[in-house]
This record gives sequence, structure tokens and C-alpha cells, in this order.
Amino acid sequence: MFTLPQKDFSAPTTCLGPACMQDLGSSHGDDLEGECSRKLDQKLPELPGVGDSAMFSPDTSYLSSRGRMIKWFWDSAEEGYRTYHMDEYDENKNPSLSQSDMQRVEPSLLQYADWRGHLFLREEVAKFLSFYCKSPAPLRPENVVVLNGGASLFSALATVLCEAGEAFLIPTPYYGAITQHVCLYGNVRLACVYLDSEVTGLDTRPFQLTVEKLEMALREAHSEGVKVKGLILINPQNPLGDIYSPEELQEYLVFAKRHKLHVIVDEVYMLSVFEESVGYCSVLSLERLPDPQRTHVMWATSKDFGMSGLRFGTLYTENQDVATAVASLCRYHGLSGLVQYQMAQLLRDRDWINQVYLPENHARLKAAHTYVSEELRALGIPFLSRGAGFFIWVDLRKECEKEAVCVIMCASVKYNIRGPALIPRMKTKHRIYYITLFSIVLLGLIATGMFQFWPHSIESSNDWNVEKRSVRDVPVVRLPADSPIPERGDLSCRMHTCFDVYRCGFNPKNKIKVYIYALKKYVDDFGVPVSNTISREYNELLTAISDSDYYTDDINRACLFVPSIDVLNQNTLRIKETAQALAQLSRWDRGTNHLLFNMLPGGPPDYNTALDVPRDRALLAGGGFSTWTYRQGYDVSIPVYSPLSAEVDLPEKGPGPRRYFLISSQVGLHPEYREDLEALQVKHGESVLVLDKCTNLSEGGLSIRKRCHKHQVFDYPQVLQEATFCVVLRGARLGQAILSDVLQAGCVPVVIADSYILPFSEVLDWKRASVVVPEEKMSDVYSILQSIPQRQIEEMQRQARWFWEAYFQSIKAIALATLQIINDRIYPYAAISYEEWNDPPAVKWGSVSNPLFLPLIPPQSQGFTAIVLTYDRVESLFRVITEVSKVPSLSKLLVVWNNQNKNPPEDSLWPKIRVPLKVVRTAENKLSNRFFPYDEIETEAVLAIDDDIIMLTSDELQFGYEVWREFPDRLVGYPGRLHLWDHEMNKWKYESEWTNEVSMVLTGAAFYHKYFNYLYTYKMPGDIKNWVDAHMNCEDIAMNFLVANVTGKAVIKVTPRKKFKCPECTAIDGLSLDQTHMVERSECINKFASVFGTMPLKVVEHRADPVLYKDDFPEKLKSFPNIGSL
Amino acid sequence: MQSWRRRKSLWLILSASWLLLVLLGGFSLLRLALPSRPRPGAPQGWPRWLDAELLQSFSQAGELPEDAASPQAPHGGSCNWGACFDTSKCRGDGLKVFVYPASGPISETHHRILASIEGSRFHTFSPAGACLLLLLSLDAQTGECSSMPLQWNRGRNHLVLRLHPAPCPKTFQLGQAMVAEASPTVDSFRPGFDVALPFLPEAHPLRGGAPGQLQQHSPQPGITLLALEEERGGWRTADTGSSACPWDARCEQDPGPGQTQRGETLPNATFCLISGHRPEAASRFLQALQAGCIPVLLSPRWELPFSEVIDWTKAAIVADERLPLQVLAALQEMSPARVLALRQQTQFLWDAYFSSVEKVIHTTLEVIQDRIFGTSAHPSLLWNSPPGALLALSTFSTSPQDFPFYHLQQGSRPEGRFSALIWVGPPGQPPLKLIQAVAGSQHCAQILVLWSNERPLPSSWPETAMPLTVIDGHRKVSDRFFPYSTIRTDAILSLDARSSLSTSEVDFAFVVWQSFPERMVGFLTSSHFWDEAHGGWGYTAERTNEFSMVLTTAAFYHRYYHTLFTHSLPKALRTLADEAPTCVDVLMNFLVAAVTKLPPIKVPYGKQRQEAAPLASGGPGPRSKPQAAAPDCVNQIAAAFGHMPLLSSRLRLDPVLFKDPVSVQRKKYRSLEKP
Repeated sequence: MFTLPQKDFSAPTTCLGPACMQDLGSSHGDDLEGECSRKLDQKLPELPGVGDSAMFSPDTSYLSSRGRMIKWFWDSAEEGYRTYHMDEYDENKNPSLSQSDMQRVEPSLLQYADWRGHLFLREEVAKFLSFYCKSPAPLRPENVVVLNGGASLFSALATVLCEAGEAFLIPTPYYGAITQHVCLYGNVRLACVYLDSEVTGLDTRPFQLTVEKLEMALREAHSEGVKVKGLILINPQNPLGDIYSPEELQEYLVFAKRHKLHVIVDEVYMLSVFEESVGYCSVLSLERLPDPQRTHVMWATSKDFGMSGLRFGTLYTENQDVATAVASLCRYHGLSGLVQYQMAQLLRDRDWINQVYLPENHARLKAAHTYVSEELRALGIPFLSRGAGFFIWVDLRKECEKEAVCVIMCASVKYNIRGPALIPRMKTKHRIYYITLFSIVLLGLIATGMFQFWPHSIESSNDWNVEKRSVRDVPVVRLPADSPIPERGDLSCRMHTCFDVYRCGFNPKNKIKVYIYALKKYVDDFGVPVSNTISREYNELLTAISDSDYYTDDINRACLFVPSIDVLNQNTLRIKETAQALAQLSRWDRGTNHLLFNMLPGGPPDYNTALDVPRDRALLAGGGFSTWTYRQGYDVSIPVYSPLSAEVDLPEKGPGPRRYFLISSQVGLHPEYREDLEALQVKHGESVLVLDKCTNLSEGGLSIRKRCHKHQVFDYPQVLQEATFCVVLRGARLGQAILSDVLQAGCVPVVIADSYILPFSEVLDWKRASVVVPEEKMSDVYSILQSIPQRQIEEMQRQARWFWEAYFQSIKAIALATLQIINDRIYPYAAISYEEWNDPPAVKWGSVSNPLFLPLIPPQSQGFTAIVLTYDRVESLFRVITEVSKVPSLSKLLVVWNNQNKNPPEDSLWPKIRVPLKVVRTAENKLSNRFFPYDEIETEAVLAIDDDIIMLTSDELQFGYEVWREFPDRLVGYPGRLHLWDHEMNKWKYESEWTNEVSMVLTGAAFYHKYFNYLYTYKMPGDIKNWVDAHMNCEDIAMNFLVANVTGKAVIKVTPRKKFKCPECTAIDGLSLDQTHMVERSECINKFASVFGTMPLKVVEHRADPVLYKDDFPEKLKSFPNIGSL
Repeated sequence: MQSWRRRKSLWLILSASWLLLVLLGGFSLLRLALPSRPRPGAPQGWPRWLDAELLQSFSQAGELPEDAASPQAPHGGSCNWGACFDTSKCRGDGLKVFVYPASGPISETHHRILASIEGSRFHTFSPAGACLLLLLSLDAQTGECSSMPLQWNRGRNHLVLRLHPAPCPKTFQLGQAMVAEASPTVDSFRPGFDVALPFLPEAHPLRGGAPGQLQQHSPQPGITLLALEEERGGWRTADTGSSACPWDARCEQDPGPGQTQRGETLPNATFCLISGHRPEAASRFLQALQAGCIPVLLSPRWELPFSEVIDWTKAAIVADERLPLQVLAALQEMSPARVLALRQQTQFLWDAYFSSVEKVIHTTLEVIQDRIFGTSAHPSLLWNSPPGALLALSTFSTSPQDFPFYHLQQGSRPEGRFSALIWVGPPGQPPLKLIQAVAGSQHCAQILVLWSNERPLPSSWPETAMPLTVIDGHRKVSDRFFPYSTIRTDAILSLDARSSLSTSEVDFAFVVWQSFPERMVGFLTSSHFWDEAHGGWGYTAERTNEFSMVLTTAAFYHRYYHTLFTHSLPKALRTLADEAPTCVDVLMNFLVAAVTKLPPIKVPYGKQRQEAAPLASGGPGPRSKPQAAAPDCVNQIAAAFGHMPLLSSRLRLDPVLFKDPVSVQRKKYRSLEKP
């Protein structure tokens, strides 16, 4: 039906697309993903019910040629949408992420709006983009145009930027729908920039876009007589998922500027970067755009928010002509007022987006992505993927056999052999194969509730294959009978004697590197295996290590070596031969820096408490150490893993009274212990339960999961959840797997095993989660336990469960905790703290650790440094300086000159004062400059003071400083403010009225510790600092939040309320009290509370006055007589 | 010809490319055809085994629970807590310690240490009733070493306390005795059994002790990073730059002139480098701690003091001496936040456990008591944050939120109610007006009347909605601070029957206390001062611009201070208070100040009554000689504490709108301002 025009066969190296109107005859479909040249003579998909194939014939008489083409695009896209509609929103199966507060109709929204979009929406968009694109300066709402989706935007931009027949450059492969977007209305075409699917030349990754390639494509287009007007960049790239680095972006932009090209940067996947590590940067985050007038950024909600039905897209351009022209087209593409309102609501809800939506969305994307990659990996299909977007780029060429280049392979991709390429038709079986494969891939992506296609193909790489082997095939090593045996363990080993720390060298990340020896099978002279090759748990353990950050595959860089010789269970070992096997490891060297994991040490009859295999200096992570065998600070005591952990799911049970007070569920106990326990049961009746093996159960396999008392059968380990305390007795071995089951059940273990070193006791505080009772006190166990208060028991139950979750529940947890302990010994200054090891997450969240926790009253002699922030009010500034200099404890005065356009007055003009005066000039007029930890600040106390606070007396300031000395960890200030909860508006409100409470002090005049300057500058959470600088307001509220949050303490307001600025001012303290000011300040409080995730400010009802303030006492005898007047 | 040649070269190129293609392609095909085997030596990740599911578990299903048991305790060459200590004698009231009296003449220090232990709450005079028998061996210089005592019993339940290192050769077998000695070597130390002590210099003060040297929280900007120990007991500070100089022997011979400062007794630097080999390194450790200089220990071969309970990672850095550059880099890059925390912790630990011999001994006993207590021992938080385990008694509670000190760390808040405890002294009138005023407070939970009076209890008490309990006291002043079990709230409003307060005052004072639950919040104040003329402390109850004590005849404080007053103060001090009743106020203020290291808080008190009030400085005692008795108290108590803990404050906390020029109607505590 279609014959390809001859020129397509002689495929030029450019793939300048046909101007769509002229070449209609030969223009036919591809998938949604684009293609520049039409080289495929494939038939259109003949899926029944999709479109009407009868209607699709070149000579349909109802339509113009343009109409025919437009209709064709409809048909070709329909298939994808059908699949999409099959996976609709479902409350349970495919829940969507949205909030309900967006439904609202206001009459004004029903009127015509500004075609660019309502101002409120554009403001939100500007704020939203400023935040998420991390723009250096806040973006301006007048540069924003909103319209119904990215497609309209492409089409509008193409129409206003190009003449018909002109072209845009676009790196290929690219999102194919762009072809129609720019073509249907604007009659603009695309000129491809070919990328190599292989790493060649200077490239460092497949499909790398370089300026050379851009130049070449531009030249080629010119040589064909096509005028190129712009460059389209999609970042993150669709469909490669590639991300351009800021440097690369800069290069492309410079290239465009050189050739006066517009750059359309489509960042529609900006928030779908689910791998943090790829380091995505928006073009708007660049410090300076080379050609801001020709750079146009677009974003839409269809991808990042999965809201393709809402139709919302936005353009940000500094070029007002372009913005206006596009806005003019918005008459046809504009948004309804209702949608605009809803969009504004959505974009405003930064909390929900940050804390709920994005994490969940990224997690889902990642899950889908992992699923697909794993399927592909299993099928052995090479693919390329980056951590962004919805794509996985698959190479199916191998699947399509030699002669067939799959349909999805874009001929426009440049291959190794340049020149004519024969593209035969695809065989049916290939197509079936392709469709099957395609469905698998699609299935995974559908899980995200969105859809995308990815055609084209790429190179394979051996690195993408994960090695898969069989345990049966491991190489065999024969150990001669006389091969060397290591010496027995050296009991005097310590880290500083037996451990070679030089191997760990200097590592900037303070992380040890662990090497795992390759698995081998050891046999003796007679070919008899030394042990089982490897157990499931040991394999899991080694896998966990190899997946962790500790792992290295370079034996020369390793600090710790883990043999793959499985010694978890000594029972399965031949001691001597295992030792010989260890000794022949390539880096054995007397076992230095080797780590052995053992859970079941010793053997009958005397059951040693440490592994009996001679191991010389090797570290032992052992599951049953006693004080006699444990080398403190060298060995690591680990739990005995309970395989039940993986099998049985015991949901966490809240603390509280349980049915049994004390349970013993161990079997095979020594008769003496059992007698003791049974005596307890007799004495205390129902509350004590002693269980044993079930003798009458027929099925042997199940008996592990059953326990019996007389004839009553109990499920194990579920029964443990019924008990408050659970006995963990020594068996032949000290370490018992039951400890893990007990912790999992949230039952407090009562450990009766003298001299047992509890698991991870080096870092875990077992007093918080267990009761240790000496064996000889076993008969008193009940009374000992009864003396524990209920509150403490509940605490212990929570702690027990937390220990299990964090350190016991899987082999992986055990392995990583062990490595962390060793790591902390080697890099002690980077070690994890007691709290991090032991506090359950709930405690970590609720507690405050004041950075200035030591009660310390600094000596008065040190004095304080006054920091005056000024812009240009020199006269007022000088007055403030003169006033402040009268304060006896002032030791230095620092003027922060925040005006870049004007020099500070000459030295001679400044007031002469008795203390050093320094002027610091700032690079930018930012409010945060006031809180910078300048080197000039030598005192601990800092007085922040505005250049117009002239009414504070010297007595007041001196008294303020003395109050600060008593409260050095607080903000001590003069004007006090309050935050209130506004029940009507459901948000926080700022209050400056005469109230009985205070929760903030203004830093227009406040003392505080200089450490808070460091915190403000370097540790301020979220984007608060930028926000403050952008809004030129609320730096003081931010400081109040910060200090209250880290210290958990309230501010101290000093002295009565009075005027601070000028006597004539009518307002109470001269601060502008107009409505907008209050609204802005309230806004700040709400914003900061959302960033902090809590309201840290504390409300108090007191202020500090001198002891004799307003007392009936001779004024002249008072230390601070001049307080509070005015 | 030309074209032929061109064609020929084309053919050549073509065939060459074919050859190349076959070679390369064939090779790669070959590789594909053969199953990939691990190439020896090539770096490989740990593989995913195809048959991982088929691997056996490390233990058979039955094996874990089926161990045959053999209950005999293992026997090794040394002791541990479970095997060698008999806790059965320690039931009941905790650790009771018997100290062997010295045989023969002893030094003054020895004598004073014995006296100090005898004055402590642990002490008992009966060896039979004691749970721990303590053998003091410290008079090294005299050559007198203690001989085997009578009740030795193979050393069971004995603690041999060696304050100074290795004075005696082992004259008798230690057997099962625990050893508390200075800086034991890690090899001989039995964790969880022995106790590691700090290395105390000869002249270490017996009690009180010098406070920490840290004057400010964060280091000065210009302060040197590192101080190094010198041979002759001093320190020198070194500008380390980036070299490994401090570890390099050559460096010491040629210190740059401007770079080092020699011979300081206390280091003035952020970090103090202590290499762990020489025994005196341990004494340097204590110096650094006192100076607030973060100790950096290079592979110490000795056990850090009280390592069983003190989390040294919060105050010191123990690093490997073999990686000097790494350590130096880590110090240089350490964040200000971490430095700040470490420095403060050094000071806290110094003040809490090391500044005097008495503290060291008490800490040792407290460590042993914690072992005996098991689950009711101090939680780690109590040991490792101010005020420390000696001042936060685990007999009071093991839940940190019951104490006034840890609300922030625990994310809890002080309770919203208080109990009023009214002491009725000799005149013996039921304080009706006072009860009404207090009962009017919305925060009041109960009223307790402590009847400490010769008169019989009155039969009727005023009608209040508040639960009222009458306690018949023992007519002793120190009864006022007894931890009565009937007190159910954390906050106590301590009152004297003659005090007069308004409801408004009570309400406001309580709200203030909630912000400062660890301090005393009072209405009337007095001060101490140094009296040059008499060379001692003076006391005044006159109104001045500053104060250091509040009168407990009307003050809020946490109920924990009753426990502390009754159980931790030496008996002698409580007797002193009983004998001179005016002292009880001073004593309580000393106690709280010693714990908090902060001054008390004053809130406003009605003016009129202030002048007319019989609420004189001395509290409940006869009003005739308060001024005379008080200075004496201050001096005696200060001597017993070993230092002066009181601190002065120059501020008073008033309601936010107190006496502001605004309508009284807007003020919450308006009656505070009524004339």
C-alpha cells in the first residue's frame, strides 16, 4: 500500500523530517515516540476496533490532506491510550495520590481571566518552580504563562517562534509526539541530532549529546536549506531517562546563543527523578542563563503528578514578547478558572507534595522500574536506564535476529557502520515476540498508573548482566593432609595489637571496605568434602555484605576479609580441615583482619563457647560468647539467628498487660532447670506457664511450631505474645535462638545464663530491654520480676521489639550491625552514638538535645559583640552606635553594611567609641547576613540590633546582657511577639498586640549565643534561608524557630514593653503594623512550621525585670534604674 | 587503470574489514557460546546463586531447641559478677558497705577518706549486715600495706580500693575480690567485675574540688587546636597545620619558636593529645577533662575510668595511634556542633564524678550498687547527662521523666498540678487564710499540712474542695523536706503557716516553675556574699539588687529534692539543720544549687505584705536571731560541701504585662499589681 519514496532508502545522515503538510503521502505512523524520517514501511497496527481501518485510506474524500494526516495521528495513538484506560484508578488496587480540598467554585473563577492565567495561579507557579527548580533568585509571576498541557505549549511555541517550514533541532531518540505538536499547527519540523548508542570518542556514556553533534546537525540542516530556529531539550530525557548535568546544559545554551537559537527546555519529568543520586538540575537553577531572552522552560502536571486529565502546562520565559504571543494563543488553549484554582491549591500544598506525594510516587516508580529491569535481566535483554522518568531503553536487536532490525529500532540512530542500511520487513514471529516482550515491559510501567512507550534500541553491555551461577559448580580445592593449620585463637588480641589498621587507610567516608573470598569447595586427600559448601544463611549474609556500602571486590583495597567458608554451625564442620582451608586463603596472614561468623559454637560434650576451629588472629563474630572466651573490644557477640523470624509474621503488639506473667517455652532443658521452673508454676499458678515439646503430635515436622503443657497445645512462637516475661535459659550453648523469637514477640527476655555476653552488648544497652538473673537466683525470679514497675515493663517491651526489628530480624540486619560495630572501632570519631543504637525511632523523634546543655554562666568579663545590620540610614546608625557604646559590657561593635551600591562612610565620620568597631561589607543585600558567624565575633554573646533601635537605654542593654548570662541557650530580647492558632482559618497567626504571653522576641534587639549564627547559616532546615532572603522578611521569626527547635526552650523577653524606635512614632514600637505586614508574618510562621514539621515555639507568661523593678526602693540604690521609661 | 587501482584498494579494505570482523566477531561469539565461568583473579561480586533456594539452613530444624543441657557453670581463671559476687546480702535497702578500720597509724588523707565513707548513706558499722566489704589500700608511701582482713572469706563480696596505682605488691591472694584501681591495663581488667578508677594526683581534693575550667561553651576563634603532653607534667600547644608533626619524634626536638607554648599546667586548646603508653598519661587525661580540652587518646592500654557506666564517646576521642594523619584530619574537620558537645561533656563528667576523691569513691559504690540493682539501676541517660548519677538517685525512680532534669531529652512536660505542703510550727495556728488562698489556685491538686507542734491537732479544718491531708510530724525541722508518700504531684509548694500569699501569686509562680522545673521558684530572697572583714561567707536577707537563695517558706520546687535532701545529704548536715532551724533554708538552697549549678528564680510578691509580713528571713525558727545564726550556717554548710555552689541572679520574672501602661483588664495576673 505504501511505498517508501526513494530518498528514504538512501537515508541521509540527517533525518530532517518532512514538512508535514507537503509530504503527507509518505508520512505515516510510528509510535508515539518520534522519529524524524519516515523510513519504516511497516504496516499500521491492525488491531480490531482501533480506529476504522476502512476510513484510513489516502483518498478519503471528506478530509483535506492535512486532515488526513491529523486523523492518522489519532489512530496511531489510540492503542496506547486503550492500554492506559485498562488500568484506571481504583481505590484499593491502584490508588491515586490526591487530596480533597481542591473542589471549590468561586464566582470570580467563572469569569474571563487574564489569558496568561489568573495572577494567583501564576504566583503559585512562580513560587513552586523557584522552590523545586532551586532557582538562585525567586522566579517572577509575570514570566509565567499557563495553558492546557505541554502539547499545546509545544505547538504554541513552534507557531510563535518559527515560520512555516523552519525547524527545531532535537537530539534523537526523542518523544515522538513532539513531531505532531510542532507540525500540526505550526508546520514546523524537526532536525535530528544523532547520538551514538555507544561510547565513542570523548563521550562517556551512550547517547551523549555534545556540542560537536549539535554543530554537525545544524550544519547539515543548513546544507539542506532548512532554517533552524531553535533547539528542543528534554531534561530528564524522554525516552532515555538521561539527565543533563549543569555543565552540559550550560554548553548547549552557549551553543544556542552562538547561533541565536531559541532553546525550549521541556522539564516535564522534573519531579519524577526517583534516584536522588543522579543529581538532576533544572535549567532554572543555573546561576546565569547565557541567553535568557531565548530560553523557554516548560513544565506540566501530566507526568509528575499523573494528572494528564487536568490539562495543565506552564511556560516560564523572560522574553515578554514570547510570553505575550503564547498568551494570545491561550484564547484557544487556556485553562478554566476552576482548574486554575485547583492547580493553585495543589501547588501551594508543599507539605503534602514533599512529605506524602513525592516520596510515595518515587517509591512506586522505583518499584516499577526495578520490576521491569529485573524481568529484562532475567530474559537476558540488555537495557539502559537511569534514575528518572518512566523509561527503560531496551535493546531488542539480538532478539530480532540478524536480518531484522526491530520495528522499534529507529533507523535514525547512528550505528557503527554508517551508510545505507537495509531495513527488511519484519517477520510475523518477530512481531509476536516483540509484542509479548513489550507487554511484559508495559505491565511493569502500568503499575505507576501512567503510560509511556519506548521504542528504539541500543547496545548491549556485559556489565549489565548479573552473574548467575550454581553452587554445584564451584571450583574444588584439595587440602593436603599436611597443609598448615593456624594457631588457636589468641585470647589477648585487641584491635591495636592484632588488627592491621593500615589496611583501612584513610577513607574520607569513614567506611571500612570488606572483601569476600570466592566460594570454593574444599575436599581432603580422599576427596571427602570438609563441610557443606555453604548454608542458606551464610549465603544471605555474604549477599547482604556484597550489597552494602562496605563491599569491595578489590582485594587490595579491602580492610576486612570475609572467607566464604561457612562456619556458622560448628556441628557440620571438620575442625582441622576447616582450619587448613582458612590458612590457605590468599590474604590469610595469621588471620589478620579476617572476620568469621559463627552462631553455633562448640560441640559435645563440653560445648565450648567460641568456635573451636583454630583461627589465630581472626576476629570472631560469635553467637554464644561467655566472659571467658570473649575478647572485649575485638570479637563481636552476635545473635543466634532464628529461622522462624523469616517464617512467622508476628505483628507488633502494643505494650500492656498480657495473659501470662512468665513463660518458659524452651525444650530440651536440663532437668534441674525444669524442676525449678515447674516449682515456680506450682507456686504462682496461672500466671506462670512452662511449656515443653509435644510428645503426642503425629507430624514431626510441625512440632517445632508447637509447644505443650500437659495436654494443652500452644502455637509457637505466637504464644510468646501472650506473656510479659519470657525465660531464656542457657542450654548446652549460651546463645539461644529463642532470644530472637522472644524479642520479636515483644516479650521481655529474662536471661538466665551466667557469664553470657548478650548479642551486640558492646553497643546495645540490654538493661533497657531485658532482665538478667543469675542462675542461682532462679527460684527468686518471680519476685525479682514483680518488683519492676509496670511503666518500666512497657518500656522494656517496646525496646525488645525495637532491638529485634533493628538488629535481629534478618541475617542482613545481623551482618550489617556487626560490620557497623567494627567500623566504629576503626573510625571512632565517626562512630554511631549510644542514642542512635538504642533509642527507638519514636524516642528519637520526640526528644530534644540542647546543643548548649551544660549549665554554665559565662563570666561577665567576656562581654558581648553588638552586630548592627544597616543599609543606608547612616544618621540613625550613628545614633545607635553611640547609644550601644555606652553599655559597660560591650566589647566590640560590628556593622554589617548590606548596601552594595554605596560605600560606608569614611572612617573619620564614624562616632568615636571606646571599643573596636568593624565594618563588614556584604556581597549581597540579604537579611541572613545579620546571622552570619563572622570571624570577628570573639565573644559568645551577640547582640543583634537594628540601625533604628535608638530608644534602648544603656541600663536596659546591660541588664539584657546579664539576663542572657543566666540563660545563654536562649534568645533574650526586648520586643516580644506571640503566635496563635487561628481556629477559623486553621492556621497560625502572628500577634503583636499587648498580650499576656510571649513566644518570640524580635532580633531587632536581642542577645543570643553566637553558636546560633552557625546554626542559622549552615543548619537551617529546608529552604527557609532562601525563602527569607527572597522575601526580605521574617529572618527573626526563622531565628526564633531555629533556637526553640534545637533547645526546646522558650525565649526570654526582658523589660517592659516600650517604644524602641523613635519617640514620635505612633505605633507601639514603630514597626509597621499594617495589615499586609501582619499577613506576611503569619505566612512566615505557617511556612516555617511546615518546614520544621512541628511548631517548636514555646509560649510563656513571664518576662525578666531587674530584681527591684518598680519596687518601693530608693531609685539611686537600684542597679538598673533606667528601665522601661517611655 | 585509476579506477582499477581504486577498486583494488577498496577490495583490500573490504577484505581486511571482513577479516577483522570475523576475528573480533568470532571471538565474541565464542565467548557467548561458552557458559561464562568465573575467571580466576578477576574481580567479581558475590554471585546470585541460581539454586540459592535449595541451600540448606545452617542448622537443622530440631537442632536449635534440642541442645542437651549441662548446667555446671564454666570455670575459668578469673571471676565475673555472676560467679563471684553474692547479691543475697544486698536485698532490701540497697548497697551497705562496711569499711575495714585501719590497722595501725594512718595518714591524714586516709583518715579523712574513711570519715567520708562513714558519713555516706552506704555505710554500715556491722560487717555481718554489709553487702560489700571495702578494703582501702592507699598508703603506698608509708610502705604499710593492708594485711588480710578477718572476714576475708576468699575475697567474696570484697572490694579492694586502690586510689593510687600499684602501691602494694600482691601481699595476699585477691581471690574473688573485686579491684577498683586507677587505670588498670585492659588485659588484667575484668569487665563488669572490676572497677576502673581515674588516676588521681596526690593532691586531689577530698571533697568539693575545683570546678571545671571551661568558662564558655564554644572555643575562642583563635584557640589552638591541639595540646600535647610534655615530659615534665606540663602541656604545650602546637600549631599542627596539616603535618603529622605531633607524632613525629623529630618535631619535638625543634619546635618552631612562635608555634609552641611550653609548660602550661592546664592545657588551653580544643583537643588534648594523650598517647596511651606511659602510666602518667592517665593523669593527663584528668587534667584535660578539667580544662575542658577534649582528650584524644591514642590506643590507650588502660581502661577508661568508670567505662562501665560512662559513655566516653561523648566526651573523648579514642583513636588508633597507627593512623595519625587520619586522626588529625578528623579533628580538623570535626563539626562545631560535635566539638561543642564534647567540650561540655568533659566538664559535666569532671564535675559529676572526678573533681574530688569523695566523688570518685561514691561513683565506685554507685557503680556496684547499679550491678546489684539490675533492672532498677540508673539508666544510661542518668549517668551521662547533667546532673549525673550521683545526684539523680535511682532509688527515687528509674524513669527519667520522673526527675526534673530530663524533660527535654524525654520529650515530656512537667505535670500541670502541685501539692501545697504547709508546715505548722510552734505557734500552732491552723493557717486558714493561707489554705483558702492556695486552694483557690486552679493548679492545686492537694494540700498537706505538716503538724510539727506540741499542741494537739485541731479537730476541724476549713472546708475546701481540695483534698486536705494532715501529717503529724516529728517536730524536727528537717521533716519539712521528707519525701512523704502522700505527695502525689511532682511540684511542691512549700509553705510556712505564717506565710501569706494570694491565689494570683501562687498561679503565676507555678506557671513559671513549669518552665524551670529543676529550679526553686520563690517569692522572698536572701543573698550570700564574701565577707572580707571576717574572711568568710556572709548572709543577708535585706533587699538588694541580687539574690542567691529563695526562702523555702514560700517556694515551688520539684518533689525529687525531698528525696535528695533526705537520702543524699550527709547526716551531719541534716543534724545541723535540725539544731539551727534557720539553716534549713540555706541547706536546701545549697543542695539545689549544687545540683543545678544555677541560681533560683524570684517572682513578684505583694508589696504591702512584704513590709509587714512576719515572713522573716529565718523561716520557722524563733525570730529573735535569724541574722546571727545564718552566716554561721552558710560557712558550715559551705565547708561540708567543699565549695560554694550558690550563684547570684539579678533578675525577677514578672508577668509579661506587669505594671505596663495598659488597661488592667487586659492583664491576666492583675491582682499582683494591686497596691
